[in-house]
Amino acid sequence: MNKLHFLLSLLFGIAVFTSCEKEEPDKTALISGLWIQEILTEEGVEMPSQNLSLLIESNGVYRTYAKDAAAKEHFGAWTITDNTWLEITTDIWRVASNPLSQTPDNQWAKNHILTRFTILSVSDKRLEIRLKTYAGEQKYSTLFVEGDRPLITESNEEAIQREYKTLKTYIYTFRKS
Amino acid sequence: MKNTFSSIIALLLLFGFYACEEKNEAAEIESKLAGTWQLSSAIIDGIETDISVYPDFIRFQTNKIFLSYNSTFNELIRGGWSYEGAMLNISTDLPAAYYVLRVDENYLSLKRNDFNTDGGLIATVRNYQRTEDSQILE
Repeated sequence: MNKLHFLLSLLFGIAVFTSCEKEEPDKTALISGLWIQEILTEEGVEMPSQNLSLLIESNGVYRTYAKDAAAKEHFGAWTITDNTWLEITTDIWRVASNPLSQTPDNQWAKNHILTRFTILSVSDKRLEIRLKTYAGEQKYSTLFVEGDRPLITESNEEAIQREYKTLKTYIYTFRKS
Repeated sequence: MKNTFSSIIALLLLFGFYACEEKNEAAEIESKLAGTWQLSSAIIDGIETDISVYPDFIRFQTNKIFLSYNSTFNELIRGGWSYEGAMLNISTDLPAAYYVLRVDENYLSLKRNDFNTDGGLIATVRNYQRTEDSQILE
């Protein structure tokens, strides 16, 4: 009987201890909604405004709208892993091999991949996410606004290839609409 | 001692009940959605709009097949449907999904959000009334 009492007391103690741990807010619940981009920084330096809206819905689909971009709308799937990372599916454009020997249509190759952002903070008012990626991927892919992909020539090939070898850190800050 | 065990079992049952509740709610909504519905009104950002631009009948089948039927043009479109994360997904309309505002024996009200040209949202609400399956000619 004493052993039983001891076990029950131990279980009760564990329950009390775990309930006193500081609980992380459920980021999956907080992240749903319409977010308006406020700031985008590259290596801590503010970049020009992209006029980006990001709609994250609870069924696991996100949509983006950038009113100044040529391709205004994009969409994909999202998940949050370990209440820490925001993972989204994106179209990533990379330079094809030997681009100068390719026709203009084949100089760029597209892949649909999962991109992982670190959630720096999320509340009912503000969302801050960080991504470390190649500068070229951020610039020319749908992260989240797709930049124009230039015709690759002898004069710009080296610079573009360099962009795909340079890792940079981007921080996206959004406010809840 | 007997009381302690009874309390522990009661607590376990309570936890189990809450875990199942959310799943049951989704199943209940799916069950209520099943059937054929006729469009009765459409409201965009609070303003009633012409419904002739939308298919006038939809059907959610229990095998997760979705039918959309425009009786004016005798046009039938098939897709799939699911209810996930408290949202209704209809494959023909993805990436937009619907919030089920109301569903019961007779009425169905669905809301979807889309971007306006400034990057804000436009809410479209479509209201339906339950009707006979025979309204959709397969």
